[in-house]
Order: sequence, then C-alpha cells, then structure tokens
Amino acid sequence: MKRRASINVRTWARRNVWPLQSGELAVRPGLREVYTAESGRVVVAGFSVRNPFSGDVWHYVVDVASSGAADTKIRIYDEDFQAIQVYDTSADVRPRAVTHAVVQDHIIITSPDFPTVWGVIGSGITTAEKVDSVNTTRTTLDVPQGLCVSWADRCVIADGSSIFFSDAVTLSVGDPRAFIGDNQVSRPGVIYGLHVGAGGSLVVVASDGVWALPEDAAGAGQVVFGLWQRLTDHQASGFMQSCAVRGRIYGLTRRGYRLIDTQGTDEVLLDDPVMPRAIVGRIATEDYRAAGRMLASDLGPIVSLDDLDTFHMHDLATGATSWWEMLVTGEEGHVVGVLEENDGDVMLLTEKGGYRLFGNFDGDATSEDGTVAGVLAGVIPTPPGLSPVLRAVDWASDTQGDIEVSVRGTTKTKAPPQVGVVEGSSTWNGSDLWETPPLRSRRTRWSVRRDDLAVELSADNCLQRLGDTVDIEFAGPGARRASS
Amino acid sequence: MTISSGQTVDKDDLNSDTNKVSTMNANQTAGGKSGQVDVVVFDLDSSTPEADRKIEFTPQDDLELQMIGLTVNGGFAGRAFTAELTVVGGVTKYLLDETVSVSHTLSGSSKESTRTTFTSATGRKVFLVRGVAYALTLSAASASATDLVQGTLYLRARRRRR
Repeated sequence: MKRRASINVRTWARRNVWPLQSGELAVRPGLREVYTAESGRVVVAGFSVRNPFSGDVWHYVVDVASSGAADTKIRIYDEDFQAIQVYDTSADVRPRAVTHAVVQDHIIITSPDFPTVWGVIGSGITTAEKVDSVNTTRTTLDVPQGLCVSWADRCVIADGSSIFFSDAVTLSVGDPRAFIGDNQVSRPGVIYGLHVGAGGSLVVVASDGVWALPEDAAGAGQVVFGLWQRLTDHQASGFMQSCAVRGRIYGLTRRGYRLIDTQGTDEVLLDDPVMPRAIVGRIATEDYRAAGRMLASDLGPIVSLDDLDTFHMHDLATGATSWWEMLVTGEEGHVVGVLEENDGDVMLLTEKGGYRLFGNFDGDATSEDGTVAGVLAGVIPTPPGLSPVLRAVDWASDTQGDIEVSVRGTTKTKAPPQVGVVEGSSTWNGSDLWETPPLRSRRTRWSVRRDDLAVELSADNCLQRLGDTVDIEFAGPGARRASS
Repeated sequence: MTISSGQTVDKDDLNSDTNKVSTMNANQTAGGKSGQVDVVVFDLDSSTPEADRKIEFTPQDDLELQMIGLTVNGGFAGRAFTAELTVVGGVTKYLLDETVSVSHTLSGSSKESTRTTFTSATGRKVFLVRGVAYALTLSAASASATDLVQGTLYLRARRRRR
C-alpha cells in the first residue's frame, strides 16, 4: 500500500538559500567582486561612512600583511574603490577589533591594537592627538585606545574595563578628541562590545553582563552622569561577539546567537542537523563564541565561521536564515566587514575582497566562477514501527540547471525542462514573448528502507525559486525490516 | 547592454545590473574635475597689507588638495616667500589641524618656483570641504618689493556626480 506525504521544507537547514524580495525561497544572489585586496595583504575589517553634507559614501578598509609583521594600514576608498589615502597605523599586530564613530563631521577609528585615528568626513585621517576641552579648567587626557561608538554627540571609547566619554560636539564647539578625567568611568567587567541600543542608550557588552546607560545621562552637563541598568546576564568573552542591528543587540552564544538586550530570548541555533549527506557537508562547531565573528548588516546579523569557510546570513525582514559559501575562485568567505553602497545596498567584505549581492553568478564583473546551488536539508519524521520503504521524492524548482535529490547520502540528478530564456541556449528575438519560468517538479525514484530518512534537495543557479514542499511516496514496511 | 537579434542569450545579458558598473565608472570620470586657485601679487614686500596678498574662497564641492605651489619672478637671491592655505575663522579641523604651506628662498634673480604635492595616497591627504571658507595667503620676508609672486592651489573634485 502506497502512502504519500507532503512535507514543508521552509524550516529545513539551508545552504546558499535566500528569500526573494517578494518572500519566495530561492538560491541566494550572486556575489560579485567589486574590490580586491591589495597584493600581499589580508583585509581584517572595513566599514562605509556617508558624508553628512554631500551624501557621498567612502569605504574604510583595514588590512594587514599576509605574512610577517602585520603592518596594519587603513585604506580610504571612494565609492568606486579609487584609493584616496593609505594610512599607516604603525601597529604590527593583527587588530582584534576595529570600530568607528562618526560625531558630527569628525570620524574616529579605534582598535585595542593600534593608536586611535581621527579625521574629518570627506577628508583624510591622521593620528588622534588630544585637544583641550571646552572647559579649559579641566585636564584633558590622551585620546584612549580601544572600542568606540558615537553616542549622544560624543565619542565613547572603552579600554579594558574603563569607559571614556568625550566632550559633547556640535559643528562649532567641542571635539571628540577632548577627554577629561571626570568623564572616565570604570566598570567591573572587561568590555568587549560597545553599541547604541533602542532609545539611544549606550549598551556595554562585558564579561559580567550587558549594561545600558540611558541617553539622558549625557545631558547632565559636561560630565556624563547616570545609573547603569543591567539588561541581561549574557557574558562576553572576546571581541567581535556582538553587534547592533536595527537598535537591537545580538550576541554569540555557545550554540548560536540571541538577542542580549532582553532577558529570556530564544537562541538562533546555528548547527546543521546531524544526518547523512551527499551534496554539502555539515556545518557545526563546538562553541560559536570562540570560532565565530559577528557583524552587523542592514539585512541582519552575520556570523562568519572561518574554520569552515562559511558564513551565516539572517534576513530579519522575513526571518530567513542560511549558511552561505562562496564560489569565487580563491575566496574562502571569511567575512570581516560590511560595506554600504550609496543606495543602501549591503556589500560583504572578506579577507580577500568586497562583494556586491546581486546577479546570477559568483565571480567578478564578467566571469563566472562556478555554479551556485541552493540546498535544503532535513530529516523526514517516520513512525519507527513502520520502517517504510521510500519509493519516490518529488520536488520542484524553476532552475534552468539541475535538481539534485539526496537520500541517505546517495544523489540523483534531474534536469527539468524550462520555458522562458534559457542561458546559453536561447536566441534573442524581439518579437518573442517570454514567460516567467514556472516551478517544474521532478520525481526521483528510490527503493530505500530507513527509519532515519535524511533528504537533501538542491537546485542550481542564483535567484532560482525553490519549491516550498517535497512530496514523499512510501511503499509500506520493508520486507527485511529489523525484528525485535 | 543590448542583445542583438539572433544572439545567444548568456548570463551577462540577463544581468542588467552590470550596466551599473560601467555607469559608475563613467560618472567617476566625468566627476573628476580639476581646478585651481591662484593669488598673484605684484611688488610684494613684507609690509604689503594682508588684504592685498590673500584670496578667500569657498568650495562648492569637496575638493582634494593636490598641490600648493609658489612662483617668484624678478627678485634677488636670498629673498624668502611663503604661500599658506588656512581656514577662515581658524577652525583648523578642516585642514586636519595641519599647516599647509610652501616656502621658497630665491637663489638668483630669474623666475623660480617650488611646490608641495599631496597626490600620494600614502602621504598626507587633505580635502577642502564644501561650504567652508579657505584662504590662500602670500607673504614675503624682505622689505624690498619683488615684481611678481604667485601662489597656486591645484584641486580636484573626486565626488561622484549623479
């Protein structure tokens, strides 16, 4: 007796999958290289800053030598990656974290591992040297070194367990390089993350929890004064373990990440399910706090897992998540920063280059470096007493390439026929009417008796839709099912 | 990108965003305008009023400083001159708190010139910010007048025009 079941695959583990803007599940967009790291250099951080007056976006890229002493440099590029300035930080260690703060038209770039840098948006950068406070009766400190953030028109720098607040800055008065002794605060824990949360509060991610200082503490006068609120007991143990996205603070945990600005939030678990595989390997690690690097993007949090050459994307708008792997030749997909285009689009910055998320293949402007395949993987629950024989798997995609189905580590490939423009074979004719390619299902036939039905579904080519459901056909208990 | 009739459609043809790259490059080229600011003074000496040896200007676009130069003609060996770029009102952050100037001491009586360039990406990089008033000022150390002294700024607009 045959039995059929339709399984929703939208909750399955994903690889190179991303929703279209209209919400359909699809293979992720192409990653198109628009910036290549300088020869002999490895990019370690980067960010984009928009000029508040002209609207231009400049990219700031931090790189180190690929061998020997780090020789850390900050490179400023215009929107088309034309070099503007190469600034030598005089540091010879790879920076563990690089942060920046834009306060009015000043920019401050800090790291625990190189002296703080100052500049004016739309101009060059130089070493930050202390500036007298507006209140000349106060002694100014040397500009601290550490993590920074722009908060309440001040530059805030965290060094170890100390926090330094600069003078408040307007266009004509105050300077983010003016730090007075009265504006130094010591916290009990070591600070590993500095963010601005919802409502403008200053959020400190430290080894003893996550703390917030309301924005009105900056309005008490020149000296910042307010009561620290403990948001959660999340304990950070290293840099690059937290990020702020849309006013919420996310932090890496042993098993994934979660919101750390509110108690009791659910974790986003990052390990792929344990199951036999044939199409892509399993992604899992012992502790994401130790192995991962967390970055903020306009889309959502990004977790880079360098050991496995992959990174995890989260689209907050749809809730979709997926691990991504890059097919660009020589690229390992170690994401170290997120750049922004003038129109707000996100660009990923890896150790080896910068990539726009668009188009239908991985590569540079013209060359394709491999076929991107979106993969869905999951285990189909079956009654253990039934021990069914799998007879067929039906699944659909609008891909012009191949559909692959893997069951228990064995793969079968089908090439669904397609209408519409087919790359590499269609010829252009102005009088033709083209049709949006429909989902086309393909059946793979099996004769597999298993209690643990692990299935992988794969379709080729970027932006091709992936069917929401998979149909499974069983043929009753297997003849040689295990007995008691 | 136009696909010819009968041409095989490949991945690039379907990707209209590729056009954006070439448009960006074209805009960048078109936006890379160069310009210069000069101040020329005849009979410059150490007592020439500042108003007669200074020009103030306010860029209407962010301008990359590429060179500050000084040309002197009709003086005598040993006379020293300086051209300096400053921010009107003294808000030095708009020159990154740096002194931007060039000096020259004549070695003879014929025309001589000198310059400092800022075109190297690894050197100092200063942009003149639009809307901020700057001044280029000449000065002479000698009480004796020199026929012609010219200070020059070479500037380049790198901003992308849309």
